[in-house]
Amino acid sequence: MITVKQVKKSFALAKKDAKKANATQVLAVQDVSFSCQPGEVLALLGSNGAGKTTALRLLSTALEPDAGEIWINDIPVHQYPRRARQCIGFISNGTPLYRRLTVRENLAFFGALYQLEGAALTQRIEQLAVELKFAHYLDQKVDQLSTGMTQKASIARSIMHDPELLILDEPTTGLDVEAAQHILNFIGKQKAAGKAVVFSTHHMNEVELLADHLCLIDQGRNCFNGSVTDAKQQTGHSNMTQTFLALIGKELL
Amino acid sequence: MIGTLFFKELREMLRDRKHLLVTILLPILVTPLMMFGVGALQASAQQERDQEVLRYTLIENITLPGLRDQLAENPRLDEVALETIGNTQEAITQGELDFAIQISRDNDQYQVDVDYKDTAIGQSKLARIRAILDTLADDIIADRLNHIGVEQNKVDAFLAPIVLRDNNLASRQENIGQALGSFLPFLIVIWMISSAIAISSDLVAGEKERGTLETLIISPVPLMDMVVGKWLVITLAAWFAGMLTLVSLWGATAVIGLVINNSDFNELLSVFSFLTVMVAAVVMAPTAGFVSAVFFVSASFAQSFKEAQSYASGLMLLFFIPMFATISGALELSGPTSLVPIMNTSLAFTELLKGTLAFGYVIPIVVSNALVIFAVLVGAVALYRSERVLARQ
Repeated sequence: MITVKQVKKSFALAKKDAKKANATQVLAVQDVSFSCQPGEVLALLGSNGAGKTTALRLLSTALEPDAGEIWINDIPVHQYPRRARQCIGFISNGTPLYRRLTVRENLAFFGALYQLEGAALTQRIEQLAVELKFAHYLDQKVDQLSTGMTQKASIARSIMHDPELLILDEPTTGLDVEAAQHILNFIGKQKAAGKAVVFSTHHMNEVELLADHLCLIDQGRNCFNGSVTDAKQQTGHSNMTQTFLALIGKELL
Repeated sequence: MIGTLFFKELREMLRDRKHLLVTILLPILVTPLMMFGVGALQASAQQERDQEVLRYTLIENITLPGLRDQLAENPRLDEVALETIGNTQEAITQGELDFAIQISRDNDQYQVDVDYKDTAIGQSKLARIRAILDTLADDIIADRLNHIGVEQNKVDAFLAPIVLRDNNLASRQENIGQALGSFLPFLIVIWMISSAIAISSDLVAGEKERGTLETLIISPVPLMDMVVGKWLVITLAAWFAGMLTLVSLWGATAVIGLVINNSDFNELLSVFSFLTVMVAAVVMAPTAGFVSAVFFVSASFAQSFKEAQSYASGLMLLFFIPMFATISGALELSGPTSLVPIMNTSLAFTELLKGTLAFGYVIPIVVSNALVIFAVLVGAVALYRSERVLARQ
């Protein structure tokens, strides 16, 4: 399970920006808290620039919080980041893979980083290739693949070590309908397999389809934590888009 | 884990044509081309200048005995009658005339004013006129000495009271080595730097741009392993580029020497013994490691390949300072200079080519570079740990 308690993160501003803003730092995230149990999906929502990506990067250990705590499977991340990383699979919307390597070489490399080797590594690659249906391009270089194909390979890369927590940053952005549906199915399967999934999105249909819990961030601060049903009840809307806008105080007239 | 990272980076590097071009193809082609191609061009230009028939006009306010005859006898000088030229300086500027030689006399001294235009480096046009005037001056001195009663057999002693007979004990290898050492280390370091810039920009800033660096940082790989794995590949590429520069020059010298059977080439080849190349491989390694570590860190500050390249261009100019200090010939390999990165390798390389390298210097060169590299890499790990690498995104 994952627990995020009152995390705060600010970034130093570049000199010219600091002068304009009359401040030396910009607060990206403040007092954000949420938790996600195994077998649950938590949707992290917010407008552009609200702090979703920063929150996910804190969760992925790419960034360290200025204050607050993050626990993953009872491991305090700030104390044991490398141990925590063993439990995390992170997928950004940039599908980061080595473009000059084949899909198999990419997976073998990332598997090796997580101590997979020999027959176990080969078996895991084959298994994921069948599960995610990319066996036919396993030996093609990534720069020869379409965005959808690359996204599948990127998902496989992030779960090579079978992590207990999956973090996805706007995973369907820029994908066609089929590729996006594939991602949504994948998240559903991970949930069914008992994994904890945290994902950010701007698509409210994805939230309604997958999320058990919502964490809404507005201008870096938590403005709602609870289930989809709670959110709808609180705002009095049945539609998720209207619910979201009401929660951030930008309800359409 | 370092091995896993190293081989992944190596495989990626070898699949990039840009890297192969900078690290392999260009050092192989450009160095021999620069050395022999430019050398041949210069020689050919000089030969052309030597063969060129130069036009002159003689303005005799007074006759300088023998000058008109000597000028006329020279097959590579052609007189143009003064009457056919309007303004001599204008004619020279427009290339219609090479010299305007004007003779006057002040008491017993002839004065020769020569107008000419020459911008070429090397043998000047004026040398041809000067040679004739020197001979005439000797004849005039001899005549005057005879006139005041000096015996003919003593005239030589008046004309050249001191005869220098030099006996340079430097071996031919030392001379060739010194000449090569004045530019070859520079070429080698340039290729090392070019390769280190290209590879580090891609493996660090390029990866950051493509998003793969963050993926790597959030894996359980220790940061030191990641830094060392990448640095090793950049170092290998830089070292390889330096070695190829040397080996291609060696190969080109051997092939050209064989084809044209020229003793100069065979002498040049004698400087490049197998042992020289092997020792050069050891001496180059610390510099390859040093430049790779520095460009690795500078690329870590950049957000994109392009930004990394611009940082590197500025840094490269800094490296030129020890390089120019070295090729100026003002410095020698000594205790203090053996501790300065880049400078130490360049000086050691020159000594190696001369056949006078004291092998004891290899230890301080390796140790001083190793210490600097270690400090830079530890700094790089701290940089990655501090989020400065990713947070700017």
